[in-house]
Amino acid sequence: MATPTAHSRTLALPKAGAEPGGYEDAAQVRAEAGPVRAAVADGATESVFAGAWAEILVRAATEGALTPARLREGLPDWQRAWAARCDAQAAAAPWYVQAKAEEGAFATLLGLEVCAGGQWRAAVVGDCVLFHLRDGALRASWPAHSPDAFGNRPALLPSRSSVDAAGMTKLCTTTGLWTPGDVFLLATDAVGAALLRGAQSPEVPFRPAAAADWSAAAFRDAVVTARAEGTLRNDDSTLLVLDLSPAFR
Amino acid sequence: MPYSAEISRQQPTAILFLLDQSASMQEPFGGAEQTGDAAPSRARVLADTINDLLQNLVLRCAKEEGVRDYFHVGVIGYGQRVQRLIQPTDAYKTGTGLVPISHLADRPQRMEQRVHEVPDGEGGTTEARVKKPIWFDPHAKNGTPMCQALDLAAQSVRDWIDPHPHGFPPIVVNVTDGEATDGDPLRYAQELRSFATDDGEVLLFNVHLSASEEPPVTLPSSTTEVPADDEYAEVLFQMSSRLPFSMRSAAEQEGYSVTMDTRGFVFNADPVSLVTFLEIGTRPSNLR
Repeated sequence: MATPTAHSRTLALPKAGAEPGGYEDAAQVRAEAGPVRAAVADGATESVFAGAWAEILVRAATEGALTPARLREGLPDWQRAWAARCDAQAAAAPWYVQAKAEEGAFATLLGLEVCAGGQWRAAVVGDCVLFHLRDGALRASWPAHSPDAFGNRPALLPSRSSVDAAGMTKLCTTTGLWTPGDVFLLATDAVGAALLRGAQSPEVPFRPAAAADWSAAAFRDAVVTARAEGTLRNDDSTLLVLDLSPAFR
Repeated sequence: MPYSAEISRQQPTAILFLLDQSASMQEPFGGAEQTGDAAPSRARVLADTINDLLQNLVLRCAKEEGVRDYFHVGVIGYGQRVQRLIQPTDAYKTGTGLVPISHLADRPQRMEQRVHEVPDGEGGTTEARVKKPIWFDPHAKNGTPMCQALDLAAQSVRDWIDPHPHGFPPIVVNVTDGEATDGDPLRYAQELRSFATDDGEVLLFNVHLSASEEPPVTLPSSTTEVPADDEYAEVLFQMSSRLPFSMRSAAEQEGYSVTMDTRGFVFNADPVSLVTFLEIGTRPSNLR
């Protein structure tokens, strides 16, 4: 029975022009014990304390599998954690931070669980993208298959229970099989869209097969180049590479 | 593609409101008496709407560390006088009357307490006290010097574009309930719209507030959609810019059917269509 042994690295670059602390994506991996879990989240630019909300969500999605039942039961606790972290800061801030904090923060979330026995499952709210590679080739992307699939209004998870949690009803799940040596890429939307575009053109450097081998420096160079060429939207750019080495090697 | 420039703090855009403050704005909206409402004046509804809109613009730009200056904002009132209603402090006296939105956020005329019903998260509602910034109070006196207002707007955007030549072009929204009393506004509108950044010409949108019971004509694509017997409706149509791509998308999401020729214009606007249109017309594109 295959037991996942994962090597992971998180590649991240804030949007160009962002101030320190302006990065509002988050990524986390739990690889020290099975099942292996990984998650990325993208805090919505137009909300406050969105980075904090993204961090809380990726932690939650790596502490347990992201399933409809767990989301339903866990979301109130995650929302309380956000309020505990942000409400006091908001109360001491000007009127617009208070008003914005009342509306809450919003984020997209993608969680992956790789289980012993060869199965993996994933869940997503919004427009993060999962790529599955084998033998250096892209097997599948999910939930988006095309760079044209990205709109301006993705489903989002709200940090306030008073906000109609329409995002909850938009949790999508999928499942599949892995073998040792497979690589998963978890990308927030800008990187996901650019990789999907690259997947259609083998000559483009910004493509999933190349991304599996990127170092932090190579990722930074690729992002800067793609932004300059206009093939990557200027947004926080995050790619979590999860490399499932052959077990017991 | 024009009208696709990214809006960022390094490359903000400008939004300038022209508000009719003529005597007729003391009247309520058309049809309001028949509904039995204690109808507020058009001037009151407009002041409330602009206060709400400015608040929403501030909130769109607000982050925990402060307000990001994605927008520079100005308001020109025209009635008894044509005047800039946002008075910048010395630091922002650039002569354009357009100030960074953070400057506006920190300097409302006053804060009022309002009680709102909000969802309690368990299917019911609860009362919440919220702070409401007020920048403007209603005014309504004398004629409708729209041409002078458009001329002042043209000076503002021209001077603003000089140091901002590459960004999304300024958006000017003119809200009026009557005909100009100081000349032919079409000529002034064309002059205003002739200024441009690398990303496109200045956008001028017009909202005509209803004095009649006729339903609003929102985002028409042709003069055949506006009342044929109203010469003034056609003038306002001709004065209005075509909606750029991002706003056509926003309009479609609000349920409007749009074409490449759709104008940023509402005729006979009621309070609801006024708010909806302003929401569409001030969403140039995603903020970065």
